[in-house]
Amino acid sequence: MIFSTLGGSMNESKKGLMTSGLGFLPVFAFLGLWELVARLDIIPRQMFPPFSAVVVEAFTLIKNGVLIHHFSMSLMRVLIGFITGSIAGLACGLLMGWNDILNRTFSPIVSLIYPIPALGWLPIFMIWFGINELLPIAIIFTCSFFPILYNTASGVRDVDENYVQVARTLGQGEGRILMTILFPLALPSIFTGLRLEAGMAWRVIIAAEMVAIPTGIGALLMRAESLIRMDIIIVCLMVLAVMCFSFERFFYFLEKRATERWRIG
Amino acid sequence: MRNGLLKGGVLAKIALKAVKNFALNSVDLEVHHRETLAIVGLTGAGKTTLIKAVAGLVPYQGNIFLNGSDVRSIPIRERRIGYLPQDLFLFPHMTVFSNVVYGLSGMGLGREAIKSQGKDVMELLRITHLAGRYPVNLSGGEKQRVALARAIAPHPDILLLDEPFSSLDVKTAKYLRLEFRRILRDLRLTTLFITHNLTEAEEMGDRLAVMDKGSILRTGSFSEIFISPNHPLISELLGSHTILNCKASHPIGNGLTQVETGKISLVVPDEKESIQKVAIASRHVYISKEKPPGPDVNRFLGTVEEMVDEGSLKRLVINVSGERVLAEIPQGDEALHDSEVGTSVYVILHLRHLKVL
Repeated sequence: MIFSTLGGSMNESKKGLMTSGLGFLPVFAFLGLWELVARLDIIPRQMFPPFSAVVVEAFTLIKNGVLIHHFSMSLMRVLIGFITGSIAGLACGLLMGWNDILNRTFSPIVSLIYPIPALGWLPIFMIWFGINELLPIAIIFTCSFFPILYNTASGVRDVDENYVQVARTLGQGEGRILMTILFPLALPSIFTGLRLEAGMAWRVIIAAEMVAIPTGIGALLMRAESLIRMDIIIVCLMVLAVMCFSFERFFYFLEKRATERWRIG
Repeated sequence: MRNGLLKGGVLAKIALKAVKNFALNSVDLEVHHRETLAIVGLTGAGKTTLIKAVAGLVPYQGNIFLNGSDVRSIPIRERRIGYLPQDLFLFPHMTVFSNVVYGLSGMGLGREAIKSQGKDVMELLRITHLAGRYPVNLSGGEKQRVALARAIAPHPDILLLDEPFSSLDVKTAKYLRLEFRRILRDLRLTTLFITHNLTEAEEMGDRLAVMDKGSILRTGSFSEIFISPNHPLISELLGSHTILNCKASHPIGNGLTQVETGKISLVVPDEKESIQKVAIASRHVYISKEKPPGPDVNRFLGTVEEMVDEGSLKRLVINVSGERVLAEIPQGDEALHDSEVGTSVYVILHLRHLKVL
């Protein structure tokens, strides 16, 4: 029995490895094709460098500290803007979802502001804050705040009223019901917002840095563009892709950890 | 329990005129201390609305007194009410243990006291082995137990049960009813139990209240209501029964009593000291053209007096030594193949279906 169970789990893990291996196969095939086509020199190499040249350039940029410097600037802005925006959005969303008066008061304002693209705020923030570190952080804050507020408030409002009624009959006050019933049951909706906005924060920071900020991955992209350094541009885009993917996966992992055991069993 | 009223004293007085957006017309009820009052009625009678009004979950016109105080001025969380809704609403993100102790956590108890009280309640409901599981991993019966444990853990003054067995299969529901009844009696909890099922009401309740269209039609013991329903709806809920008057009775041991009706003699469960009547539902009267095997206890030879087709059923009146016994069998039942008025048949009355009144 033990052997068969072990055999079963080994088979499963093999299967998992094979599945993930199969997932990487198209990526390797794509990179191979890219390398091959670039080396045929049909397109000039400065316009379409081979993958190996991009890797070499990535190592050079890491070694001379340029990539680390710009990446850390972008990362810092994303983290500060996203964390503060998320916490504020979460707090306001919880209050709006919980309190009907707050919801009815602020819901029309949120509904009006929510659809404005984060970069739409750039001109206003440039005038308000000037071109300094506050500008990209404010943009990321805005980009995170409204969607997370919206998802949190709707997640709380969607919790079945009967859970709240039962909690009340069990002697719980409203504040405790908010924290022990409404907030946990709204987590799936909150995580959906966090996951989407975590990737969006990176897309927005790159755009903001390209337009207005002299440092960061976006700024490096613009500088590479003016020097027609396609290899650096591709390195920057690869960093962006990895960061968007990693942030989204991180929140996906957190969501699974926080909710899977009671949602799926 | 917080109050010290003796059984029979009034714990809750409910006098409702209307509930906003619901058809609740006139309710006048007294719930006695430590009794289970079963409120029975058809779907839409206003039973759930009534229970929600008592719990403070819907606005109402009228008065609800609990322990002599009008509960209108008492916030829901201070009413000391245990509420078990129809769909249970176990908190899905909490383990069984966290669900059970949730009501204790707002009472200012220490961590150890909460743990120990939670364990006690879980032992009482026999769910200790489920402590670490989430509701998503529980069976229907286990969920019911957890929900009851959660409701009774904070020692409520009154327990409100809203059709807790309606989603269970017949066997599990029957088993749980007996278990819940035992627990409610052991804990001497005052309970308002809602159901549309008269059997459940009879099994669970010390007294019955029959409700229809937002009003209470009748309250009383099951026997009182059974003997004189006084209302077409109550008769409908009770279904057709044969009621036999008891002229004499004497215990024969093994928890049984011999009852003489003057015309026939039958054996019934020894449930009451003074037996006035014995009732049996038409659907529980078994009929056979062949003599059934076994001793001649509660088996009688009779003659079919009337036979009426009524939809999918055939209703019969059988004369057994002068007693008219009502019976119903499905159309096409082989037991009465080729029978007609005047045919001799055997009537079998199962002991467990005989109601002693």
